[in-house]
Amino acid sequence: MRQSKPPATIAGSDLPFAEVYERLRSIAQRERHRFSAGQTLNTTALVHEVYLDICAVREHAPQPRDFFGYAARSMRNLLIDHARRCLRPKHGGGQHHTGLDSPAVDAVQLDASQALEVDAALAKLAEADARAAEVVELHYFAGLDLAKIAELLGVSERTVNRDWRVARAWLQRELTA
Amino acid sequence: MNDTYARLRALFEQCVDLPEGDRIRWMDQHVTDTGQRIELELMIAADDSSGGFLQRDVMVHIDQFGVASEEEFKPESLIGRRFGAFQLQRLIGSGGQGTVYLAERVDSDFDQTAAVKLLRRGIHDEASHRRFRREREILARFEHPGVARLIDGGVSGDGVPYLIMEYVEGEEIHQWCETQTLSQRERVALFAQLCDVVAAAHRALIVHRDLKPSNVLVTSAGKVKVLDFGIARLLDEDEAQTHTAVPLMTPGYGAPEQACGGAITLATDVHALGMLLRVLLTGTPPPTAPGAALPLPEHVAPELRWIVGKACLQESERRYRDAAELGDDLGRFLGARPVLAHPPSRWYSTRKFIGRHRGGVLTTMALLLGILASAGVTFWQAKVAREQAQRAEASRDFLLSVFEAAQEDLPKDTRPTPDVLARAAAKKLEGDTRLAPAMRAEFLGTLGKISYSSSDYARAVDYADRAIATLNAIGDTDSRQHLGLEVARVEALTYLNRYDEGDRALEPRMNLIRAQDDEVAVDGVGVYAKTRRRTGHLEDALDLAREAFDRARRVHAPDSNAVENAALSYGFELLNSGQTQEAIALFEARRAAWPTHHASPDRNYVTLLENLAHLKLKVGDTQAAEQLMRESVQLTKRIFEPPHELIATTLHNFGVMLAGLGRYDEAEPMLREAAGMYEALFGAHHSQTITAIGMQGAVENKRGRFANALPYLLRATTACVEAKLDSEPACAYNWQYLSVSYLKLGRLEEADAANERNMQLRLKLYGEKNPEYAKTLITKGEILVARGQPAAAIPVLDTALAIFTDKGQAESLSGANTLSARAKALAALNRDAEALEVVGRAEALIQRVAPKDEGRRLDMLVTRADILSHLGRTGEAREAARAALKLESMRATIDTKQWQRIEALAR
Repeated sequence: MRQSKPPATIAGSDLPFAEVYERLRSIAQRERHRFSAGQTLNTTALVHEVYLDICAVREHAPQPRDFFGYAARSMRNLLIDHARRCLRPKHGGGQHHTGLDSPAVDAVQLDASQALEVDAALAKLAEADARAAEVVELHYFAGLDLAKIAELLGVSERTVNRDWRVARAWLQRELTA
Repeated sequence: MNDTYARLRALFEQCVDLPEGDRIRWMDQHVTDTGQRIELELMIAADDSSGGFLQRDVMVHIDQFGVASEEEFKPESLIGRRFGAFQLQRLIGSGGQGTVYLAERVDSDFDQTAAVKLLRRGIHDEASHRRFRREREILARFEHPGVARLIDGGVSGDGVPYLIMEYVEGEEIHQWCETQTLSQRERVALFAQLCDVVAAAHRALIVHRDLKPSNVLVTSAGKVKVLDFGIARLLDEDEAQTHTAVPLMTPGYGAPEQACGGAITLATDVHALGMLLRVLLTGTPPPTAPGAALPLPEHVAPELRWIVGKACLQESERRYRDAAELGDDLGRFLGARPVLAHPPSRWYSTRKFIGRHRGGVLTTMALLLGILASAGVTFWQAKVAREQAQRAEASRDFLLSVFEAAQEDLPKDTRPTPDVLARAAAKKLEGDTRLAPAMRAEFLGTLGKISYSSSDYARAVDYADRAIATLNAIGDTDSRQHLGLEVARVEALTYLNRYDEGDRALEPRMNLIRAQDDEVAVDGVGVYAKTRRRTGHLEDALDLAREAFDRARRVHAPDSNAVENAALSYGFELLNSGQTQEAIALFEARRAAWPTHHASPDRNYVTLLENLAHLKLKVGDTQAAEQLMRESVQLTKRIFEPPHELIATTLHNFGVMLAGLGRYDEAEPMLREAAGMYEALFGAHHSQTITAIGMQGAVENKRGRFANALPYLLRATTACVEAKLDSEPACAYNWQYLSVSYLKLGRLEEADAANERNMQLRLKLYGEKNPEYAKTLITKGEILVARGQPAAAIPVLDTALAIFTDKGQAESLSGANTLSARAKALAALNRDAEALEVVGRAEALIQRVAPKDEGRRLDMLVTRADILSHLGRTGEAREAARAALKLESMRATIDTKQWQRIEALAR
């Protein structure tokens, strides 16, 4: 069970709430724009927006660690969703669209499968070293810098730096192994 | 951190900053394991490199994949493709959740049209797959004429989840109202129809979560049809992770708790229904910002304004509890009776203000809901679990979800148990004095259900007591909620062997409980049947069980678990009163009907199998019985985690059956495991523990190890005396086994004393015409023969046989035992010819009902040899004696002198 830290107001800290909020919001808007006309609407992203709109005005605004964790998770899900779409075999018999045969597309496909591996590796890391995995989520996915993460997690900056360095090397090793 | 990782991390940190030459030397010195060395080198290399996936901003990747995949999905490209038994024909529409196609069945001759919905979200991992399957099963089980049925569902090879649903032609409800130019009253009447449909789903523990005009159609016949019931939950990917999950919802209809990750309750649908009613009444779409609900225009009747207001309250616990309550209030409006909803009072406004400015109340509520709703168990399930019918299932669902969630986050030994969660929730409840009493009682009742589900009956009683006290304190003594809690309390009491207390508590309340035809009455009558039986009122119990079965069929859907439970109980009472054939017929009908009513086997099915197996054994069909038992053991192990009462019970029952079939080596470990599990769960003085311990003694008896049996049986009977279990069937059995041990050991006084206790107990429990009582007569007869009073034994044994024959159970082990005892009595009276004839009948019967029971065969051969030798037919006697000697493995079951006599005869 995930435990929340005791309540602390967003306003009272100097965490870049607004910045991450904007980042999420812009993604949400772009997503909606990209899949316009109700065709392949990305609900996850849309819901983010709804969430932010509604909860921002309510009295029990999300607590910082929950909020950033949530932001990171959204980004992670989004990345995975997109990567999977990229990799999904074409429906209707496996014929490739000619436009998608270019080397540039291949590079994307390679990265996309790596994205899924990163995701899996991160899940594995979370089992072995929960804090390091959280640091990766917050830094890489939510875009928080390491000093802010230290503040958020209530540990020293040195610790977060070490976590990040180990985690990055470990994940990279998972991908090459 | 696991050890391998921790070691790798330590090594990495110690050497990563050393200059390369030093580092290699350091590694040579400190890292001897080759595998570890390779991993470490890989990490160092990764640390040096500047490239890699993580180096680039995640936004860049997202955009890049997004562009590449943008053109990929064209809904039309899927037309012609097959999902399940259906082939996609044309696109009907697409939206947030996915794309919907009209499809036709291709695997059969008859035409069937359906709507196939392809869901946007892929399902790639096992956990979400499992959740998808489980939800789908729950939905598939629910059928209602007002709901588009879920026909099938699955996940295609490339991870696209799909649902096949009944195709409905109709007009969206708000459009229908406009095109038909319905009056306000007609609109309300139509909407009340919708409430009925949703209420039926609520009773089946299904919450819609996404009610909106496009999901509510009206057919040309003017009937409401609701689409996509419960589909939103199938899609809720974050649900099993944390209560702050954000589910799918439609702005404008979604409730605040959906937006902010609160617990989804029945009241969530009530909110959406309220918004929908508002749309029907005003003809304009709902406001999208929550809390910004505009007052309804003046032309709307004030009662309707209050009703919409109450349905759309921010705090879910102050809304109508479910669709039925909302529908009832609308019915009152239509019938020109006063409605429950009322305009906001000043008190309410003040309270609202306090709520807004004191975070404490809300935080506590959120935490409590969070604990109860942990792992995505929507609280409504626990709350509605008040309905006995669904209790087992809802609780199991709760447990399963908790375990599933816990599995994802924590190692097994640190997972919180539901019990721990419930206790934490209770503590929170204790601390918050600002909760309304009815609400507090509700919570306590729910916690009681959770404890009940985890076999912690003492705590369940305690929670029920506290909930009842809470209601009493506000002057509520006779409400259905109060009565429901009383019934739940007594039910838990029965599991603690406190039958008398439970029986006394229910007796004066039965009139009130029966006053309505609802689930409280079904439960109440059912539980009362149990306490009546356990206090020795067998006739009452049978009548009550039949009444509960009838009531269940009136109150609940014919395929509901409530009806299944009631049928089981009724069959069990039939069995207890010796009406075996009637019970078999009832159970076999339920078993045959199971697949048409249920998607998968569950706890009730296991019980059904076991009871059927028990009955089959009683009528001598051992093969069918064994197969049924094996199936049920496998099922329980698949459904529950040990130690669990049901696993213990199936193991125990199967062990008993195997022992009965003479397969002692297979039986013993099962019985031992079951006894250990029971003792761990309930303690030494519980009837289940006593049964299981006694059974081990019984098996020793079967093997002829009578001295070994004594410690088990003395322990069991002593526990019976200590716990004053003077109407406990398990104790009767233990006295019986004990008397057999003593009899075989030649301690006849003690054997008789033990059998006397057995007789008294059974007479009280079953009455004098019952086969269970007849069994004590067999032992009585045997003891009389052993004590040299064979003439007295004959009428006793004849009485026993008459009872068995009367109840259709002469063709059984008990029947064989009676014949065998009778043969010995006749032989002892020198009525050799008659004795020989009875021996023949006994042997034939044993051959039919227990062909592998070598102990009994040996016993009969010995008796035969004795009689023949007495008659001077030495040749035949020698033959019988030699046949007996071949069963040497069972020689321990007869006494040494007999064996020596046989050896002499065989020469």
